[in-house]
Amino acid sequence: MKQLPIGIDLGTTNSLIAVFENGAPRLISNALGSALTPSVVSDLDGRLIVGEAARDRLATHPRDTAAVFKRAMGAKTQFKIGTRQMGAEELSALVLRKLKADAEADLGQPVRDVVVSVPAYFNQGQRQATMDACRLADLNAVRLINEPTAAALAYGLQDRDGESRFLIFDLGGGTFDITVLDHFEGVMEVKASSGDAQLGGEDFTTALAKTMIETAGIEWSDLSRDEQIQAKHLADGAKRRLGLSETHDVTLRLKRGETALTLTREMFEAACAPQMRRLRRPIERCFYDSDLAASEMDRIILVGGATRMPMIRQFVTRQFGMFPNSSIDPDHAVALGAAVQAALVAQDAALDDVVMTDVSPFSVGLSTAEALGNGRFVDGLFTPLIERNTPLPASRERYFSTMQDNQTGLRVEVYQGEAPKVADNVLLGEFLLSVPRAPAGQEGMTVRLSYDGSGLIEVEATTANDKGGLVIKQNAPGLTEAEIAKRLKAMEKLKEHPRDAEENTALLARIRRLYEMASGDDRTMLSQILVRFEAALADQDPQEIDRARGEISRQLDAIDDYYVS
Amino acid sequence: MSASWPWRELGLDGPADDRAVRRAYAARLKSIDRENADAFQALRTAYDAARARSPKPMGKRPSMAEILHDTPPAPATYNDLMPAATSKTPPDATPLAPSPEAVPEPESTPEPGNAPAPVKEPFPDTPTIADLDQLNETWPHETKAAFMKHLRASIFPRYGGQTKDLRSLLSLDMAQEFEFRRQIEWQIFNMLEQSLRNNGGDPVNLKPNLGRALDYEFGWYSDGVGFQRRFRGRQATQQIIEKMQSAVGQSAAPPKKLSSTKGLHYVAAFLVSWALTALSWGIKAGDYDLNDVAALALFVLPTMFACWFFAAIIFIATDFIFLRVLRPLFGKRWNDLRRRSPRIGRIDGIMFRAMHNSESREKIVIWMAAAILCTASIAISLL
Repeated sequence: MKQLPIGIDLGTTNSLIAVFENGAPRLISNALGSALTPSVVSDLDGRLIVGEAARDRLATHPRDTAAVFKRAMGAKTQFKIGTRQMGAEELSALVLRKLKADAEADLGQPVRDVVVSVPAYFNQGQRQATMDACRLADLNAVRLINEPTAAALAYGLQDRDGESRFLIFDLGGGTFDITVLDHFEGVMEVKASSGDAQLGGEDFTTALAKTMIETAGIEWSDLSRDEQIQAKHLADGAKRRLGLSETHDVTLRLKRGETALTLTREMFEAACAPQMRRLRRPIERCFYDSDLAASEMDRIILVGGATRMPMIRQFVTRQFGMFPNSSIDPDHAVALGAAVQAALVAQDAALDDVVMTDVSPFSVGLSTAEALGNGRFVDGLFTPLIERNTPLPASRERYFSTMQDNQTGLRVEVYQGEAPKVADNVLLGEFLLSVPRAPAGQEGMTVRLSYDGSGLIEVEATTANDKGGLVIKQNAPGLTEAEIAKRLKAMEKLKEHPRDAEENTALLARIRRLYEMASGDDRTMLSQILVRFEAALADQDPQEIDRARGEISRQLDAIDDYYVS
Repeated sequence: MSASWPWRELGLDGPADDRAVRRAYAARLKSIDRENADAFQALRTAYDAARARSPKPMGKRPSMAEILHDTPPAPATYNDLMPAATSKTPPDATPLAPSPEAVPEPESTPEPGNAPAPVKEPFPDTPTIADLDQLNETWPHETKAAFMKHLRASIFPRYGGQTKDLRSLLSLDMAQEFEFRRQIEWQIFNMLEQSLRNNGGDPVNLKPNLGRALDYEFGWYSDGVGFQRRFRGRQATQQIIEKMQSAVGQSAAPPKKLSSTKGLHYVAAFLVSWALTALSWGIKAGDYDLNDVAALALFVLPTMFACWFFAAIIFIATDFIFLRVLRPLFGKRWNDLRRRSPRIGRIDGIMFRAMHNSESREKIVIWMAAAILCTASIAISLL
């Protein structure tokens, strides 16, 4: 049987997996019954756990837990988990493995081919790292899709025959993307994408945490790393609460003592002013590039959990003069869209009349030199062949001539980026070509650059006596085959927590987190709950465990509500 | 595909309205192999060409110039819009001179249609930046003119402004509106271009901190591709980019020196070692008397060389200790240490500059090699 089309949203805070079946995408829940699996990995007595339980351990065991690693994709940053050191690719692979296991349990068939979403503003290195993570999780990413484009597909499918221009405002946990789309006659055409790969909900949380600590009269830098993580955790809860009410009381418990604070929405907004300012540039850029005006938008769609913040909604409403639309849960849209894209790639019959064209998020070009006239040159100039926001697939040809008499070689260096000097852009690859000797400017090369919808970049250069080329694949991992094999082997050795015990592990982690947060009598009560649950686990009677779990969950919900509100 | 008759590619008989073109494009797009770049591009080019010629259902977005003409800014800024017309203007001080009667201008008085209520307070002569947002509610035109005046002063400090005012100006609520923001950007470019013309092509007014502010606000360097697209064909574009680079670019390291003294060092090292060797062998052969000047040279020069040699070894050892041992050992605290002890900081700086500049490293190696050669050959000759 052919594998069903699967789409994955590998997020900064949460990850989701969706399947396309019976003509529509559907989210697959994890063992805890939730579609959202927190992208957090934790070490529990030598075993690695992923998801809800790991997230709760972030507050109690920050040294054994890693989160927000998507930010470090493609960088060499190593995360410490207990005694291990892991890179962002490996950690993401663990999350992907968990999603894969959930999907396999749900569908009853092995999952291999998937479409994975990445922020539109991810560069080639970051995209490669995402591909590597898939490989490490034994998944074959047939295509990477830009997150806002995926969200647009999810919305576009709701209203197939509609005709509209819309703007996708995607503020996730760690990244911000903005995309303008034109939807007509079943064609979803991305007009322009822009974004900021280092701006997301986590930055708003950090800003609130800092304000909180400073209001308490403490310097942020004086806190230990663990305390900072705790403060951020507290701020995260407060951020959610401030979305619903104007004020929120928190109790800071630090080593130096307790402080009770009242946070207001105003304080939060003041703290986030710099982040709000950073939202504007990508939007401006997007309108410049698409040659459309804000007033020409028919719909504004909000995607990403961070768009739940009232200040973001207000900002969007003010800026575009209309109320935003989020009829699909902002957390779900990207995964659903990724599944639609998977179905498009697999040429699912249900989507015969749907076409999607995307654009290149970055400019791609060559390093060139220019004569200043008096025999001097400036080199290292960036000459884009395919400018950003060109519809894909695209192919451009250009002629470059020699700069010096009797020049014998030409170096073709391919860069990605927007800065006018190549030194500030990302090098994708290079090669050398020979050229016949001749006076300057008489010989040269024709360079052809092609960029296809799956992110494949091909460069071909021809001179009178030589020919050369280069293929820059997204699908070709940044790591070599040998390295992948080595890392895969290392990953095999990692013990993951058994899936059937996941609910219990999650509950235990939750009790412990609440215990840390609570004080006085509540603590005593929680420790009693913990003892009771551990006893039930020790008895190994599944029915009894189930019953205890249900009961305790209800109690914990009540405590959670009390403490966070 | 013929660019003059793009409709054929779309499967249309001839010119059609926008809606028909879009429908035809959608139909064709579904039938072609969309992975084929050439087929797609041909269709795309035809589509863009056909749409450009079909009557638009909705009003086209106004161009930059239209936007600018629409809202009357300060008079000086008007001239800047048309570079051809301003080419004869005297130095930038004249058209941009802040004359107290320049604002409010007669032509910026609001039209009767949106005339302000007669009871409101008059527009102040010199509104401060902080007041602008509030004034903008009742006096949109005057406030925009005043805004532009502040803007000019923040770009050219001789008008009594500061670069940091630019930040405050651009963070005003009124400056968040997309169209007005575009107008501001255009205006800044015009002012810089004007000053460039008056300074013989040197963008003296584009100081590094102004460059950083402009990159932060408009991405003039980090989004150089967009910048060049917006100001394509303008005289100042390239010069501004060059100047921006030294302010913002990571590649902003001082430009490479065109003349290198490396060759000189090669020649000098060769001559000195050749002279010394020849001298010492000559003495051995008995051509010279040990008691004359050569003897002195033979004694002094190798000693100097030996000192050089040891100095280089000490240099490299120190470098090793500082860069390979101490820096990693102290990690982030190294910077604190440097700050606290200026001496360590200075040595560290010298080491870093010397050893991480390939040219100075090469020079050290040349002289070390010369010293070793000389010492060896003199030693052999004296044995």
